[in-house]
Amino acid sequence: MAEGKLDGRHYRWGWASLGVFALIGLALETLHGFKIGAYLDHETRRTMWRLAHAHGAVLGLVHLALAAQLRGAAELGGKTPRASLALCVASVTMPLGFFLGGLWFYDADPGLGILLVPLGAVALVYACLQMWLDAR
Amino acid sequence: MASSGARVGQVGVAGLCLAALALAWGASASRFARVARGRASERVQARALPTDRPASEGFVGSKRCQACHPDAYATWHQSWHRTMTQAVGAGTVLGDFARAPLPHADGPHALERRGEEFWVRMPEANWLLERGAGEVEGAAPFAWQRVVMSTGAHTMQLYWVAAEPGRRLVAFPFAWSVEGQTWVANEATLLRPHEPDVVYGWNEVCLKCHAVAGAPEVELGADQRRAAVGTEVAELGIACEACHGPGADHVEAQTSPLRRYLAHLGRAPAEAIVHPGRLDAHRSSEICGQCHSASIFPDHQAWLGRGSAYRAGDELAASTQVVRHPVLADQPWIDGLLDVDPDYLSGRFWGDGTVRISGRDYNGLIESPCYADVEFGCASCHEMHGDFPDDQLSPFARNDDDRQCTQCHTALGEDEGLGSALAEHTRHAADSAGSRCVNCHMPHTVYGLTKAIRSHRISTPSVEESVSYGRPNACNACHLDRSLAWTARALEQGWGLGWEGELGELGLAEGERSAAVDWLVRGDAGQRALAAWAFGWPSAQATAGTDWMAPLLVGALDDEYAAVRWVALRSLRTLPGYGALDWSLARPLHVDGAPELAEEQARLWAEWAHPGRVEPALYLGAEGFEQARWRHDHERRDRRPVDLRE
Repeated sequence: MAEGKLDGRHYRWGWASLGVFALIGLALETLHGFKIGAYLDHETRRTMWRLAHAHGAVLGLVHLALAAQLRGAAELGGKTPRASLALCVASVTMPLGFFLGGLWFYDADPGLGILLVPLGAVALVYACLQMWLDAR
Repeated sequence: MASSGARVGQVGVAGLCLAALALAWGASASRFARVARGRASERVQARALPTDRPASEGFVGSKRCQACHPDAYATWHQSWHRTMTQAVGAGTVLGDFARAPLPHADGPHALERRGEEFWVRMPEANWLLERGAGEVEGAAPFAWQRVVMSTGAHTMQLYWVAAEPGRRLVAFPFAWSVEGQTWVANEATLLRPHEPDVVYGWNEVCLKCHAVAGAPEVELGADQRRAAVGTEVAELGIACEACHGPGADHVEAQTSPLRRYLAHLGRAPAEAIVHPGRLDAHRSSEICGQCHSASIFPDHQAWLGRGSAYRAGDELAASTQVVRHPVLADQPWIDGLLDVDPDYLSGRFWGDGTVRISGRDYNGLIESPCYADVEFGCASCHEMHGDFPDDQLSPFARNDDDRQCTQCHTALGEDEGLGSALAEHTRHAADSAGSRCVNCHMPHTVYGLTKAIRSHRISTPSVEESVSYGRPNACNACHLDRSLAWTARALEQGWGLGWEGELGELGLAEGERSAAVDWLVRGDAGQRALAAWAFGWPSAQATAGTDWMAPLLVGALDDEYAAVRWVALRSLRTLPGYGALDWSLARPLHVDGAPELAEEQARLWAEWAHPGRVEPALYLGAEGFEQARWRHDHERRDRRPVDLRE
């Protein structure tokens, strides 16, 4: 993939992600504000949804950082496209896993949606590794 | 001069420095002394409270459960089970320790809060025990003693101080009434004759049910005195492991997420833990019955050692003998019990075998016809992890809509309104208190915690239960202005429940006197308490009216049983114009006499507004309250001692 396309993808993804998770943050604040029991009364749900919000927002920043790095780079390393794809996978699966884990849960254990999170974590670690290799 | 002035200044500065040092030293010394006193006091509490059961017995405590079961923990945490017994701290005490000293026959009992500690000045705990055993007499030696533990938080809270030997605990003689926001003598909270020297101990009585897996660890000396008391508990209060069994194996097994998720998905059972909801109804109810029953242990000495061998999920009969009245069951071992305690049955049961004291609802349950159904048990109406701590009733059992009964008796729940199956069965309007299943089949004939409580022996109302056994029947407990003869006729005409006896011969002819009024004026102390409570029951008030009640309740304020006075005052306070009466009206008569009570009674009788009708059954004369006739009857009340062992 061409450099311009990749950095553009991550700029778009990053800003879209920040926008979406800012709205989700607003929604969580609203649940707090109106003391919605379905959210406040379940510690597992609160934890999972907070984690979904935090991971989504931070990964949005990572997308922006990657886009900035790509725009400033003279040329792409060979591993960057794979890192880009892995970051995208992680950016979907981690927040989604936390969200689903809090949507259906068992007492203090999150629901089976949480299985997406380790998948995303592996993808994120892979992305970091690839970028590190390219940056050597 | 300048030199001299400088010297004066230097001396002044030095003096100021010394003064500052002295102040700092003084403050430090004071702080150190406070810290030292605090630590010493903490040691007093730690030495007095029960110690933990050994880890090898598998108890882990409720905090370990919270990590994985936060919602269940939260509902338990707001329950009255949790606060049944607590180590005293700043956040656990409800009583007002800033009150003036409390009058008592032994001398005034003072209260004091010291930071986060609570202290009482009362007779030395061991001296009280010795006096209770008849070993000492005379003036009580008073001493300040730290309150180390409390019992209860719902209706009242009792406090415990340390005694010797070991971890022995003795009750402070006053309890805090949550309802009255006042101190009341422990004796006054119980329906029993006044016993000035009684001392309440925790380790061999309350421990059985007010803690998880209590072990008294009492060693008796050759003279039968307590040689050592090393009481152990798994946890103070009634916590998770009282109903789910020891949790260590479960905790160990559930550290594996794979196992947990297999259990969540129903692929594997929750390991090594008892889930009462998955037991059959009778076995599940036995978990409640371990405490909520009149029961004894086959080997009392073994109980004094390691406590009850029962663990949740076990067969209760394997370790515990639930006492049933001889009229209902043949239990040969009961003779031995009655040899030791001849009043055991009369203190707990009506003559027809129905349990009459609170906290023993399991006894009522197992005598109920519904219990023949293997699906019927405590959880048919109650839930332990709901959002309703009072009575812990399931949502469908709270709202007087009969669903706790119609879930099985479906024909009575199909429709509503006059002419419905329900109204045909009850002979009352479908939306009235008379059509609520529990009002007829679970009347308030159990006494405890200064109130009447529903009998859990589900039964059919009868006149016989009142005439033969003195147990108030459901009809007259609501129709407070009606006679037993009226009830006999109503039961005969409405339900074909005839009664063969001669009411007239018993002086119970219709119109002669109201049954409930008779229980209040001439009954024994147990009947007087239940009747006094019924006078304040909204359903009965709506049925019988309230404009005639006040003089009778005012009359009950000088009852020789403090509990009857308290209940009567509570009911009186529900009547229009009496809500501001002070709870001190129900204070013990034997401490400071009650000259002003007589004046207050006279005032209340004089100010009462006559409803303008004449009803001899209610002591309503043409001129007002028939005080002379009431006094004549009241003087002839049943004075046989009643000692209810709640």
